[in-house]
Amino acid sequence: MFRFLLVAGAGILFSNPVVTTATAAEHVWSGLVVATNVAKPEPPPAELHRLDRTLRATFGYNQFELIGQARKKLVNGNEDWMASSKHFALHVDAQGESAEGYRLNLQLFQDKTLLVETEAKLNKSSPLVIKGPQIGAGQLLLLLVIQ
Amino acid sequence: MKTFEEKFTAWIDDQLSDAERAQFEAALPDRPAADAEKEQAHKLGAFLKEQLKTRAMANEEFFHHQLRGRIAREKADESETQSLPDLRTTWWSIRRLLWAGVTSLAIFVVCTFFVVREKQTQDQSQYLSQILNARVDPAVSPDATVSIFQTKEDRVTVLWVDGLKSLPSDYAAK
Amino acid sequence: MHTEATPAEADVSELDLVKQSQAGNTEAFDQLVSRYRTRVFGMIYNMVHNEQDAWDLAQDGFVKAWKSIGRFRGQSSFYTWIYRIIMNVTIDWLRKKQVKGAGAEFDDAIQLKEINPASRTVPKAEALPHERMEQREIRQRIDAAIAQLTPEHRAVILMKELEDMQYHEIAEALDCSIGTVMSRLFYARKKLQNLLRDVYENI
Repeated sequence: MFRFLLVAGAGILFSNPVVTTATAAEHVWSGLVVATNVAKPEPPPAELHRLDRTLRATFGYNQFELIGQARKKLVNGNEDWMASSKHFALHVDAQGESAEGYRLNLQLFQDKTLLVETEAKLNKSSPLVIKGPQIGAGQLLLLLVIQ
Repeated sequence: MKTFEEKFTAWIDDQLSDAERAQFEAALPDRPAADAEKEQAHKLGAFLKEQLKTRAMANEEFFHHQLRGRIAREKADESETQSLPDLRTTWWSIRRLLWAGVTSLAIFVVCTFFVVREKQTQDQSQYLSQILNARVDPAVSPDATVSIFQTKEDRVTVLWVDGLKSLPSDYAAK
Repeated sequence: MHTEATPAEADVSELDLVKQSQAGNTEAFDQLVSRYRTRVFGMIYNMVHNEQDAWDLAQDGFVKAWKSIGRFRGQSSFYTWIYRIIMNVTIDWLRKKQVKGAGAEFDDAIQLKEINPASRTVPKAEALPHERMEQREIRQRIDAAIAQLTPEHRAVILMKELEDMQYHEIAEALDCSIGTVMSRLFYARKKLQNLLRDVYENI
């Protein structure tokens, strides 16, 4: 009886093909967003459609304006500048790539001052958001998504 | 080996077979640049090996003495545990325990398979993005704090930084 | 007349020492420690750059090896096996030492540089005068460069370049795939070349 269950379990498990091949490197989109609360909010930019609901729920703002964005293919071992605006810039150091995504060192600069540095694993289908400083009545958000 | 990086590393370390090497070198867009990089890698390796010679341990005897003391304490703790009398007799022989474990695992695998199959959507990683560590310069933002949370439904990871200095609205310029 | 053991004899005697250690013989384990303590200490020191910490971590690693020596089955060399324990202990320690969560501070070993956000960069080494550097300065530069690597990247580059370990040995010691080892090597080499080229080109 026990042996039957064992064999049955193994048979079902191994009959399910598992995709193991690594996908080609994808692009990483990054965006600098200023989130505000206004009486008549504009619709979100196309790049933020997917995240709009979450951003509203998480941060409590109803309007999101893109002030800088970049879409690049990251190469392991290379550093690059991603989204930037007049006063902010994101520096990325790609430290490794796997089937699930990228390992990154991220530095958010305000002019020449380093505000936040983080090491993160950015996975597919799992955007990363960094909450930055208040700007006027709004909030700076930094978004990263593998596309 | 699948990625360019893996092949390149193996090429630098002369770990490719003759056929693989020929194929790899033929596919290089800029052979001189690659050769230069290989040379640099070898120089770096030789440099590190020369400069980072094995550091002698000061007072090796004391190291052993300390280690012996710690191991003796470990052994003493172990003996105390083992000397406790085993008062139980049980129907569960090793063989029966083994089969019970294997059966439980098989049932678990079958159930998990069906549960996971329901939840899995096409081409979607099961893993959320992760923050491994985060730093804020205390000189710039002495009151800043950092925390992390994740929204499982939308699979968003948020690095929440509080206490950064507020900025005037002209910092929102594009 | 004393003659050195042949490699085969040395391997057999190491196996004997392991078996005796597994049987609880601390003297046998002591001999194993004697064989590897210098290499272990040296490797840890290159990872953590502090003698006292390296000492403590070496102790912790060997105690852990003692406690788990019963699980050594001989599928790999004893050195690879003990390396795995040592690396786990060291990398765990480095990770905990890194800043996490509230109350974060900057690591002094990581130098913040003035960067023009508008400039596109591939990492460049700072320009240094073309003069002979003192040994101490060289070591400081190397330590600072290595400190910029993650613990995992440090481990891979040191095991490859200093210990001449094979990919599969490094993979086993770090409990990762060979592909990951090669990928990390790729990154670590690039990073260190950019940080140290001006040093090793001018010696």
